Amino acid sequence: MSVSTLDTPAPSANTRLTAALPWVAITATLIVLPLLFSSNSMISTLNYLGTMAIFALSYNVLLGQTGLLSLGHGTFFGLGGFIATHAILHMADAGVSFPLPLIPAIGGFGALILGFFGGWLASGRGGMPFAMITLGLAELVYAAAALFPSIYGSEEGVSFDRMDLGASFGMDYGPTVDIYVIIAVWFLICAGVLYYFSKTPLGLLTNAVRDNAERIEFLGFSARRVRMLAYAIAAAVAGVAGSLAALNFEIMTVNEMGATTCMLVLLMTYIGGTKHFFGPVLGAIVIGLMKIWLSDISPAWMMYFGLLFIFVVMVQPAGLAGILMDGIALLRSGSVGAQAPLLGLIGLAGAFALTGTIILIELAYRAGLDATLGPQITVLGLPLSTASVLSWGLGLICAGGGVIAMRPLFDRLATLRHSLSKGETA
Amino acid sequence: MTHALELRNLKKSFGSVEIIRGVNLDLRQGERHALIGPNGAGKSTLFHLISGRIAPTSGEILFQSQNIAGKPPAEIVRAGLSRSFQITNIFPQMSVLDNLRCAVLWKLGHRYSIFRQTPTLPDVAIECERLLDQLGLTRRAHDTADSLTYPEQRALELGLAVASGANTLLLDEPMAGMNHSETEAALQLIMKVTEGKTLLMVEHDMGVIFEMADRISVLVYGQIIATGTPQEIRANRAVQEAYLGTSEEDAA
Ligand SMILES: Nc1ncnc2c1ncn2[C@@H]1O[C@H](COP(=O)(O)OP(=O)(O)OP(=O)(O)O)[C@@H](O)[C@H]1O
Ligand SMILES: [Mg+2]
Repeated sequence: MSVSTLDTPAPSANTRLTAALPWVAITATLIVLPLLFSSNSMISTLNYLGTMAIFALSYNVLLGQTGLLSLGHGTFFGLGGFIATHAILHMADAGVSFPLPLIPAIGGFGALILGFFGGWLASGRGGMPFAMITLGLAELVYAAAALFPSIYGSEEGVSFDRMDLGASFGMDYGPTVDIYVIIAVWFLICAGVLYYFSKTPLGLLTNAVRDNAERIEFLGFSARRVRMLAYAIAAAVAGVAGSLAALNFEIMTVNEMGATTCMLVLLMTYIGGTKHFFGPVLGAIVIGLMKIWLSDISPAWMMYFGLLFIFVVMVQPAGLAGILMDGIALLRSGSVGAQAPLLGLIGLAGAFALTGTIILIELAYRAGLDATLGPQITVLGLPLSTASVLSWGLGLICAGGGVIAMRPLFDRLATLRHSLSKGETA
Repeated sequence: MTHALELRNLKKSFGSVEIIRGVNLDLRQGERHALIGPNGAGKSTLFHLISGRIAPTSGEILFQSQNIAGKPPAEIVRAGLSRSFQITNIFPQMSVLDNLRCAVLWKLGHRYSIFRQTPTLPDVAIECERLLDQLGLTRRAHDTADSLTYPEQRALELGLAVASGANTLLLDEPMAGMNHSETEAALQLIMKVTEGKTLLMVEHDMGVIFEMADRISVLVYGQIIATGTPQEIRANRAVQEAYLGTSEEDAA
């Protein structure tokens, strides 16, 4: 299986150009986005997605690159955010002038130091012990935070005014779009640094640790040292993401470094795809949007998260980026026309399965948790009722029929994918 | 006479079972030394002890007059002793080139560097190109290691051991599982890449051993029962009884 951008051969002028292409495209997108979506709430959404994208990229240093399952990465997001928050509060108090856009560097540096310490504790071994120690550390920090309300605030967190540090770079940081600029620039910096890192000797060694940690010991390296360094670097970038989140919301709460955040970053990264450098960004965007929009329109949004996760794990372990790559491979092979009936059928079966599932989930929520709202409910424009057998039947038939039809279609798809990947390497 | 490696009364027990039962062995500088012995004699275990994969229960391992017994593998490789494995032990999802890059990074002094991109390091590129050429893997440089054929994987396994730049090599059955022509090719390859180095090699194929070895040691049931030139070993009655006779019949 190709690891695409993580695995380009020696650079020539031509490959340099193609390597630069995604970065030019991303920069252009970052410039165009706020022009297209200029309302305050849209910009706010973009800011959220940007911080999550940085956070997910940092997590993939561990999950995809080094093969380490950290269950406590949210800790560094939170700690970075609190460091940034207190840096702003103290400097504003002391009347020190410091440009706000550089605050995430402080949060990131603080998280780097803490990451070295955490990494030193956690990285003796990979696999299960690593996962358990990171979980333990996260719980420890979370519980300890309650003991220091002056640092972590109580329930309502620590808030600040981002304009207190004054204007710099021609912005006063009142408008959300000013924060967008900061986040966009930091996104480019973090993605660039992490991409560069993946190509360095240490980056290569992280892949080696993922593949066969024992063997690198027999090549003169310490797997523990590699894990620790990867952990610290991931922590630093998570700290930057946390700082940016703090700037965006002007508040930091202990919840930001709790188990939910740790799980969220794992979901985003895995669903986006760990095998491709930009996979986690894709995951952050999809999950981030689901979180914002779905939670508005459906009480069952967590359920859809879970379904998407299961779907990705079962259909394409390389995540949404993997599905995208399959699609591109299909386009390149020029056999889209020939495969159109299969793809059309899959789309149809998928639409049925999805519709049925949504109907069932919404009905179940209305019948259970939200029973007080009455039996009548409109799902996808259909007037349904929890009291009607017809409604439930419709959901069941759609979902069941779609899923049953899907199975043989997926087998065909697997064959197609196999032949495509063979055609590519030949 | 200088010894590259000396084992002094080396012992290893797993629980109450003693697997290595007081091994004494000298490896002369620059010699090709074969280690033979029946299945389960403890040859791989001996290699694990020398290379630091497991710590001995007692005894000394003197490498260039330093006791390396119980030291971690990385330290032993850096001191100049590297090994290959009986069961292929490579980086399966990485390209062949990246496998070799990992193996040369330490000796070229790049270590855990984060300031240069690996593909732009000229010394790494030159060294890997040379290794790929030697191993006959140039054509496969950008394929993942797990897509290699079995003999190619064994060549890469050997390459990782050689690439680390050590002057003393322990090779654990580098040709196990190969057919006749593959074995012959592998032998030529080993002779080529280990030129000027001290070599200790476990091998079952008597033809190979008598062709390449300066001296042979016979390990039976955790003890060295004889060490000598191929002629001496062939003539040794204890060896014939314990091991060689049956094996030569098998081979014939
Ligand atoms: N970790 C271990 N725990 C317990 N017993 C072990 C362990 N490792 C090896 N042994 C035992 O030690 C003995 C020697 O094993 P070893 O692998 O060293 O033999 P070998 O000479 O390399 O054999 P082969 O020719 O089959 O490779 C075997 O009986 C094996 O079962
Ligand atoms: Mg063995």
